[in-house]
Amino acid sequence: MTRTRTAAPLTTTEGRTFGVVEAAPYPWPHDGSIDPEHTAVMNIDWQRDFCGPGGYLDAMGYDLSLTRAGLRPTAAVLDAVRPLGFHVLHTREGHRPDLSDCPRNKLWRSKRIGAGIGDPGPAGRILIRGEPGWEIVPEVAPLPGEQVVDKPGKGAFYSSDLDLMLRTMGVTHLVLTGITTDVCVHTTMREANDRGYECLLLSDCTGATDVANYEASLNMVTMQGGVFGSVATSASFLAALR
Amino acid sequence: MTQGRTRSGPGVAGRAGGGRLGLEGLGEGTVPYPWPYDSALNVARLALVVAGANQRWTDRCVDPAPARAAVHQTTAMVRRYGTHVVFLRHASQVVGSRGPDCHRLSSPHRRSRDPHELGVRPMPTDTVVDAAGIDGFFGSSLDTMLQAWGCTHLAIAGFGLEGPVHSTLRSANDRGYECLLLADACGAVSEQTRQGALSTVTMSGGIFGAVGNSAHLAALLEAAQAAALGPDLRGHLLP
Repeated sequence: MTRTRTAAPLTTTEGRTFGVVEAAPYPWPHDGSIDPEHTAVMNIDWQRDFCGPGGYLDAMGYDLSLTRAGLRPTAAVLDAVRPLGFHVLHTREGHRPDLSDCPRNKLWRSKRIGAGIGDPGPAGRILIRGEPGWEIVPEVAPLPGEQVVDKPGKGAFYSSDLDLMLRTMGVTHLVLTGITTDVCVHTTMREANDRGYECLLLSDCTGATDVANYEASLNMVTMQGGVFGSVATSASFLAALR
Repeated sequence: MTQGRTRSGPGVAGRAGGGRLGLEGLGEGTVPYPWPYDSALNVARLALVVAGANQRWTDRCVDPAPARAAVHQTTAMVRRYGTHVVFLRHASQVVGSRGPDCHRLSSPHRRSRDPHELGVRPMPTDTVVDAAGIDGFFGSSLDTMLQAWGCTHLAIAGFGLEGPVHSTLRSANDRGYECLLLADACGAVSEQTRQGALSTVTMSGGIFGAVGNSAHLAALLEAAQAAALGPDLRGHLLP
């Protein structure tokens, strides 16, 4: 099942369409052309809590250079797609201040490893909506008019209004950036794919807490003939937009 | 490359489990924490979910025989405790509705089998659930059923560790289920991605739950049953 483009676009701008991206395991998208009106660049969880000092990952002792590595390429992608009329959306993982939307096991695990959700830290309360650590880092900050989806879980579709918004926008194709590759990005890509969105993961616009897990995550997409979508570098994606 | 300041340094020596981050100590117990998080396992609130039970996924695994044997053994074991057993069957996407035939099985001899047929055999008391996606919760009655049964804890096994097993695990975890991934009862599409799929679960204190083996589950069930029955009635399990 793939999504058909039945929803009317919100704008009447007639823009260009583009050819396929050199991607693995298949040239993306499968239907042969990229239409910005129906394509969203989804930027997953570029939050200080995951790639900035004093946040959730930093508190657990992970190497932030791995999750920060994709920031510059992502900023370049955003600079390229915004003038071309692509939809641009962002997600944030975080919980209500009273933790009423935080599963107890999630809370317990985070406390056990010294990064308790809701606990005070250098970037404010960890993974709590409205706190400094929860904000998207300035390098890839949303522009006015770009939607930000708040989510309580790893998948951006679970318990959010993302699917409704994408339908309303007429979006059928997603280009993914964000962190971490193996957790929130992969979960979101899997959810999107099940719902019929045609997905492209930008391999240098993402990173994980462990390099081998990052590589395995990419292989999980490419090695199964593309059951989740396809993978490309941002250079290949940008080349298709020229 | 540093693995993180809380660890003993890069390339931690003597790692078990194929040397992968987070899987050290898997032989001794569940990782990265003693499962379940709430300590006391209530057998009535546990379900065993076997994802990827249809042939399209059992056929994709690089070495399905040990996983099949472990699934067979584990399902038989949990049934003795009255635990719910669920087999998940995932819909095939219509060939041609996505340009690259991404569900084409690479090996010609496999094409003769119906990808939707079950690749493992459930018992009459087991439940078979059809899902519309690679995630067993997507377009299925799985969540409704688990809630109706009062299940809060899931042991997850199956075929396509990187595919339906992991998608189902992630979905379950987002919904608050306390999950144990049974590493020895999972068939994987490749060894490299098997290790990544297991290791990822253990990141950040157990981001999707814990990883263990069917032997760990057996020990937990036995202990839970013994605790429930009390000292005078231990050993009187279902035949």
